[in-house]
Amino acid sequence: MRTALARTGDTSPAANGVSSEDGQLLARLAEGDAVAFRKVVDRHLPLVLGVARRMLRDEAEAEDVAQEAILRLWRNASGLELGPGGFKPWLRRVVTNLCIDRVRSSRHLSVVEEVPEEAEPARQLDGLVDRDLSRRVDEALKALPDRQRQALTLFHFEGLSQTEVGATLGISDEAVESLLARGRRSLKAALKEEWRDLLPGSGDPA
Amino acid sequence: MSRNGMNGRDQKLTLDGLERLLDAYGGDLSRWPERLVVDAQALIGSSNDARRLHREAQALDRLLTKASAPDPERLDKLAERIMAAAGREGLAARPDAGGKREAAAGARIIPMPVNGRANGGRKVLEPQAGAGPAPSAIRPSRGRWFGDVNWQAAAALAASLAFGVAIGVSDIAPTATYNVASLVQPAASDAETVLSELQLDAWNGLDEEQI
Repeated sequence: MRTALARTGDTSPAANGVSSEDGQLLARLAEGDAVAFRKVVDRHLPLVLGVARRMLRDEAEAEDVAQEAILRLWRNASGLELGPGGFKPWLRRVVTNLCIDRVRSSRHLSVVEEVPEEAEPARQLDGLVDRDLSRRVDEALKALPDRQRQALTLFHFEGLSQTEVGATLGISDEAVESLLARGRRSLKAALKEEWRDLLPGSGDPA
Repeated sequence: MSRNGMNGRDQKLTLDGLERLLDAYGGDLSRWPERLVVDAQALIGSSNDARRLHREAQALDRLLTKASAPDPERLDKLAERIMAAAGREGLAARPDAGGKREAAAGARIIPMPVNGRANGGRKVLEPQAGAGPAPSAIRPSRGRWFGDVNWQAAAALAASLAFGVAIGVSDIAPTATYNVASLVQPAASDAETVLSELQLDAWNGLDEEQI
């Protein structure tokens, strides 16, 4: 899951190592091809929304930010320079920056809200248990201070390196390590029963 | 002890140092800064307490993977919302994008028959079910409509009518009128040809009644 941040330079998709498919899609986007845009939306929206949901605590705000990040791709396709990772690093960087801006400008987002119920009820006990576990993990993540949650999201969920997280958040490597350590320690304490069930020999298949 | 949990004199990783690093970087040592991995592996390989701490960190890693993914239904709705928003922005955001940008509003692009065949890659827009109210942006623009798609057909239709009028008021027989119209027919679509024929028939009929 490790990725590299987008790099600028040669704009040729082939020259800068952009995957041929992303390069072709970008060329079509630059021409305003809505079919290509729909393909990009379908392919990358889960990633973008996933980052936004973990970095923000409000589901609606996360969706707004995800929408804005994707629309920026639409608006700026003709001048966009992709790195070897294609769209993903660019989108991740945009959505991360948008989330950070939101948190800075909208302190009301720090209110922890319940994870919305899914439309379909789980039909099996396993599904219920998994969903309850997901809910508890989500709540523990949302309870973290913003910076800790942002660092954890980028490092553990998005696979950025310590240095990349520092560059994204504008802090030193040492500060990243400190944020990660404090964040994980809080999660470890808040979810003690849950992670203990996952220890080898605890009887849980996971 | 240094920031990375090393013993100051011989620079060996301590148990407390390992716990701090596991807290920060988790149980997957491949995610750790390279400079710390060898010492961590050595300690985990030689200490039961270190192995216990490592297993706990791995368990927390597994637990974090249980964080919920976006609900597929919400994801679908958001995708539609984004397509509609892109369509509303239309050409205003990117004047260089040409008419294709109009397609974004939940529209799909389909080939349109021209002269009885597919139009070789030209695109027209059709609202997609479930995409919400179709914004005005998805309608073909004036420039596009008259720019490169149907001017030949329109010209052929106009020519048919002009010939029809001119010849209809003259003494040339209706059969000849029909033949003249047929000469320009290849440039028009099937529907337009039928329209031409109906107009000629109507004109001829009017002639007969008036006479």
